[in-house]
Amino acid sequence: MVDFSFTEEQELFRQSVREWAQKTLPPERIREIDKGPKIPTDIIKEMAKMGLHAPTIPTEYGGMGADMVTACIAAEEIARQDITIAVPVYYLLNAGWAKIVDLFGTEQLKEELFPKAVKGEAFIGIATTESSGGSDIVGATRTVMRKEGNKYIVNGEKMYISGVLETLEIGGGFVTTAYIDKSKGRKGINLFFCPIKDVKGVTPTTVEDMGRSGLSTGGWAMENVEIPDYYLLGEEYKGFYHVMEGFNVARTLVAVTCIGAAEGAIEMGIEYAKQREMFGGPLAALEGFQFQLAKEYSKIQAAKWIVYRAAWMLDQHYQKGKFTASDLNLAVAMAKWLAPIWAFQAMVRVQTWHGAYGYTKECLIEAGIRGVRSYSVGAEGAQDIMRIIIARELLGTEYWRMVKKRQL
Amino acid sequence: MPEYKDVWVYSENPDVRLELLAKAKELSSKINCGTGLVLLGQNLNKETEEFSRYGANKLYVVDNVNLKEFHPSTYAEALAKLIEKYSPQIMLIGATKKGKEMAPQVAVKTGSSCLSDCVSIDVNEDGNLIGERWIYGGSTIAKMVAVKKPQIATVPPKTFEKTSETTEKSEIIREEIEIPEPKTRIVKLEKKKGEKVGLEEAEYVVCVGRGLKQKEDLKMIEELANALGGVWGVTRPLATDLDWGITEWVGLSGHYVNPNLYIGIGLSGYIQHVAGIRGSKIIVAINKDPEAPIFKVADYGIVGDLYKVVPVLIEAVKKAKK
Amino acid sequence: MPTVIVCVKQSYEVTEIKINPTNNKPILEGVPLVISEYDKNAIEEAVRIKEKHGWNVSVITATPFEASKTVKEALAIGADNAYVINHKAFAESDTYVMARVVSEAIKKIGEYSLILCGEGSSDSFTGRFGPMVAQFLGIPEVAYVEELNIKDNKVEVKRSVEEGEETIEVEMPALLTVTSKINEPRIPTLMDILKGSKKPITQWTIQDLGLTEKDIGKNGSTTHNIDFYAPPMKRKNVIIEKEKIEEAVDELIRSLQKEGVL
Repeated sequence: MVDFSFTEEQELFRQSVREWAQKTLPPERIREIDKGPKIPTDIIKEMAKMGLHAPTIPTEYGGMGADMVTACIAAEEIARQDITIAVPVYYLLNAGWAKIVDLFGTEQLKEELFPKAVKGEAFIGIATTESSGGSDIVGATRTVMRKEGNKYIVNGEKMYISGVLETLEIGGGFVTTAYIDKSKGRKGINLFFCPIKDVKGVTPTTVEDMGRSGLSTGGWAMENVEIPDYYLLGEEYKGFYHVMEGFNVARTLVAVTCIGAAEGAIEMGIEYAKQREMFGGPLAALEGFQFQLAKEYSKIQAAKWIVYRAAWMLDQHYQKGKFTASDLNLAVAMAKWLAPIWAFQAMVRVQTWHGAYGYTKECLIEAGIRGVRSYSVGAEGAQDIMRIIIARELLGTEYWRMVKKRQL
Repeated sequence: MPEYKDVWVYSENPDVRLELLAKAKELSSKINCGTGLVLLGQNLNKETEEFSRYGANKLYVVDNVNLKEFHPSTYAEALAKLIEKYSPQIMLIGATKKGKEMAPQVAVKTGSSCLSDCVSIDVNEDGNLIGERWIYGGSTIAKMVAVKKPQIATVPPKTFEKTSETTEKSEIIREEIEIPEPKTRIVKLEKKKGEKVGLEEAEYVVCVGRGLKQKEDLKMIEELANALGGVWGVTRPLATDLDWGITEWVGLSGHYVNPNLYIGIGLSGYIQHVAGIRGSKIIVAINKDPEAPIFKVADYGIVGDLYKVVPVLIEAVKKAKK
Repeated sequence: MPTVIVCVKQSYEVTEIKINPTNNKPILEGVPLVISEYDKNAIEEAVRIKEKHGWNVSVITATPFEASKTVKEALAIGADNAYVINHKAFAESDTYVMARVVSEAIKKIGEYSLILCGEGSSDSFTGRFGPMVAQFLGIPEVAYVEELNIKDNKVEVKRSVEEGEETIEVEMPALLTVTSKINEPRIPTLMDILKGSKKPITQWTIQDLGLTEKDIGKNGSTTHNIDFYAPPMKRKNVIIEKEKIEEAVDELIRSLQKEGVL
């Protein structure tokens, strides 16, 4: 039968991360980060000290070699503390995209990047989105690259990217897409690692987000930017497929982050409802509250186990070659579809329990709602894309293609 | 098996000595036996004379060069030898830090029962010592019984009222005991200085928590304490989480205060802190959060911003004290 | 290589203990067991000695409960190996019994220079355990240690007692109990945890220690528990509500004068 328990080591790791998060991210600090332009460097350093800066990096480069389930535990715990999810998203981007660099990067790139990343001296993010969109990579990508000797020349622009200011400060870069041959469509895309700090031809910009405010969002224009050829990730022309694989990893981490934030919010809500007196008794004693609590908690738990199943399947896939791409796509899409929506709903509900106080900036829940909303809008793949993937995998890719052809 | 009788008292602290002697007299009349007071140290003539006047039936004095300084091993050895020779039934020891360090060693040496930090003690129908103490971070009272004799209990300072002088003099028994040289050596003793002296003894204690925004504002707290003629302290989070150079706190694993008046300012009143203030006669709380648990354990409370309330309170106290 | 032995107690997470309002009894069911707070400081201090002087660190725990996670945590912080003594009857054993069991285990380990433990456990906090173990072993002991320095065959410690700050030199082997002021225990990383779980854990029965059922549990204990209860705090709970702060403060002063405390 199925065993849903975490190992003792994973339980201890959860305890460590929880303790670390409570110590490093007290509520007043979280509020301060929410007001700032980017994740403060001391938090990044603390994260690195705890082995939480890209923990998926293998041990030979000084990393922790964390598998997906373990990486998810940390994301859940950091988000349980920082429900605004600014720091958790910073964490998950590094954790997720470092794994993709590890899977597809050249040895030379890894040796250059990973030792810095584990020390918190390099950020590893994702930059596929452009002004014209993100989910439709084939249609929206305008960035192009061409090869010249042992380097690529890149022109284009990336937009709505998380971690731009952090990268400009500490270094590192982004897993990025560009057309090497636009005429070939999805079979003409390259995936590569794109540094932006002190790089000739890079002009960064920032945009202000509604939430997750503590983590910077922005973009950069590239004018004849030179990228060494060993920064190519995976095979040439196969970038689309590589990045899709990467999204399965990142989406799972996104989903568990939303779960962690919702768990943190529900805990807050329970505490508050026990204390808040109304109509002669605590809010928690009212059935109207209890039914809502039962509903929100059950949904979050349901989503949580869908998420951990996806994480476990990814581990089985990478460690033992189990499960097909189709199996993984389906498992991850369900997780990424349900978790952000249900987390958002739970947090709105928790806000309502708090009454007027919940709508003020005194109460962290408003920042949590703003933060989690980003993932039901669409970061790391829009919600409707998740449903398309689920339907596609259920109907079968062959049937899907047939229908699409007929429509064309 | 020797016949165990008498209730004995030992504490290196003269005040605690008299507090425990008061209780010993009560217990001894209950179980029909005498009382004994133990003095350990060097050059004890003056102390012997003084403490023979408080109504203990017997005063046991061990005056020894190796007891010049307190070492748990030598003091435990002296006490154990006395206990073995005279077989008291009950031994009350002051739960000062040193008393608490020594008592368990005496217990092992003599095979006795040992109860710790008893906030109340009594004897049951079998003549066994019963003690109550706080456990689980100060949330729960544990009631325990000692089942092996002799029975040792340590009792915190100020648990009982001191006994007073009587006209009857104690019988003085001077005991020569061979005490080995200690394997510990006190290299240095720096007397405590500053406002933290005597939190336990103070009649007025003002305590502040994380509601205080900056270190400079401690001046205001100190001013209130001074106006009252008392001392001030802080909660553990303020001592351990902030870099304000404060290393002492009131509460569990810190200081236990027993003042006439305790004022808690800008602190939520977590059970670990409350554990340290239960001995206060009157508790006053000032906090801007009406839901703060401190109000549930306070006699009087003012809901308000400490920065507005405290300055007014300082002036009012000064006026009242005039 | 000298050895420092750390005695570790599994303690209830006291902040998780709730009181049943119908009978005023503490509810212990479901309360997580953790390494007793000050024992964690002791482990950390031992690991610092290891890092500074290359000593070996052994932890020892005697508990009625499953101890695997607790021990792995101690090993993750940096201890080298662990000894576990499990027995159901430890649940109703007093400190005297537990100190005796642990001291027998320490005798079985044999060679050691230093024994560290917390000044008290976070759940019962009697502070008896350390001094009792020292007495059973016949070695010198210093409690409430806030700082320690190894100097050849001696250890110099600082501690704070009612009279002031004492600096004490003690011959090794010795037992020291430490306070939370001595250090800030590290939080083990994933790597520490994975390394820790590969370190050796030795299981001993009480028979291995030359003890019998008579020596432990209620039989061996010198004190017995009679009752646990949470007495309600009897306080007046008067909230002074006035429009102006001045009025509220005046009212407070009057009340305090009436109480005779001002």
